[in-house]
Amino acid sequence: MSETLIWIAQPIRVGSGHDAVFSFLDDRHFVVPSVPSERPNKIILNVYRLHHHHHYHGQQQDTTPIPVRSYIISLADAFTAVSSLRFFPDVSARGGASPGYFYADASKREFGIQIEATSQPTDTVTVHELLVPFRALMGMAPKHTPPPCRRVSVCYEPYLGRRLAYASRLAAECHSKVLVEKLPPALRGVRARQLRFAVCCGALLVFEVSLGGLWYAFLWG
Amino acid sequence: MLALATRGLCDGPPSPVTPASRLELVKAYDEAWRTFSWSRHLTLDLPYPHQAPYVSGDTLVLPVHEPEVKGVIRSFIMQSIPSPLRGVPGRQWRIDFDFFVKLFVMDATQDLLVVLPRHDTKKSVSSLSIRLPPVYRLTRSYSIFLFTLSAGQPHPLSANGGVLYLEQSRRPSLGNSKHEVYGEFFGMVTVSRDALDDRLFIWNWKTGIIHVKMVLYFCEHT
Repeated sequence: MSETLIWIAQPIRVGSGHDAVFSFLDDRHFVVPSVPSERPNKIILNVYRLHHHHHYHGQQQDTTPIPVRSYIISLADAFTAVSSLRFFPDVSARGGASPGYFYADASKREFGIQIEATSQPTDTVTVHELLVPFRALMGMAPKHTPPPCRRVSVCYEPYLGRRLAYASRLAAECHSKVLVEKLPPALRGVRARQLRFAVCCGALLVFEVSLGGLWYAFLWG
Repeated sequence: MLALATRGLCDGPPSPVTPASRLELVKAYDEAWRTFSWSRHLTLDLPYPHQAPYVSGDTLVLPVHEPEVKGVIRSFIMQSIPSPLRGVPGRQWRIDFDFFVKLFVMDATQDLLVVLPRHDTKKSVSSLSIRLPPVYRLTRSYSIFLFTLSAGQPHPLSANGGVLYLEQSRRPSLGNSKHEVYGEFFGMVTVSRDALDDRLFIWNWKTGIIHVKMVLYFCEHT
């Protein structure tokens, strides 16, 4: 898959079968993705500015804001259709959040985009995940300068789900490094395949899977 | 500051803990992560339906579903994660509403819990300490409540007494990446009862003013 981002301008239009979603980038900008019907393996990210001094009174007509920046993410040609797209947060992984004596630098966060797309050769739907540094979507990049965007492999974890997708990936290294004796006594007899790890809120979370669900979480911070 | 920056960290608010002491704590924090050695841990029971918690700031949020009825939520359990090295105390608390919750969004860093009640609930919201306008009772249009995450009370920074209003013909769209809080803004994707369109509304939740009404998707009738 190519993750080249190219500066383009596109009208707001969401392709068929694609949910309308959005996400804030900061307190001045938000992003709306769209998939053009004529190019179903492209994802356009339109960035809009929030005008603090503009607001609506009563039944004033809707207006369409003009995107201040647009980027396109090109999936491989083999992907014929993006069927679903969602954003997921960087939940201030190891450093935690404010307040505290110290906490994670939010400006270094990454913007996670999870995409479900159909692959033409196999006619199967696969999940892809892209991480774009927030800073790459915030600055006035020169035309055609692709901001860094990296693809990460996704092993869908049904118990942790999408909410902790980012956090569970960060914890992948912990899974192999946390020795049994480091675990709380209650978890030392639990089989490794019943444990799920996540790094978020400045803490390591270990979940115990049992009877089709998560029953306990053990937290270190 | 350099020691923090190289670790991707920011300095916290002023406190009696000196910069030298903070530096020692940062080093200890690094070492704890490197060796997976922490001085204490806590155990959190995950209630039915035994799903992963929601996360905001340093707080885990667990919606409490009615027994054996997934999706019917009336309470929340919050757990702030303690970190002696970061000077963050842990706390667990619970908020109970007398109505069922349709959707919720939170921002622990602003002590904010945004809640939409379900309309089909037999439980009213009348016992809340919020004065509901007649429009809510007459039209059953959606009201969006702004509570404190710490106590479940109307948020003191809301100029509207803790309520935002959604146009009568609109209803919230459910799912991922359809509602979010950032700073002073709360955004929500909505659908219409009358037309096949999705619109994004963005309010300043403190003033109650709508800043964005935007068509995201429109399907023309043929």
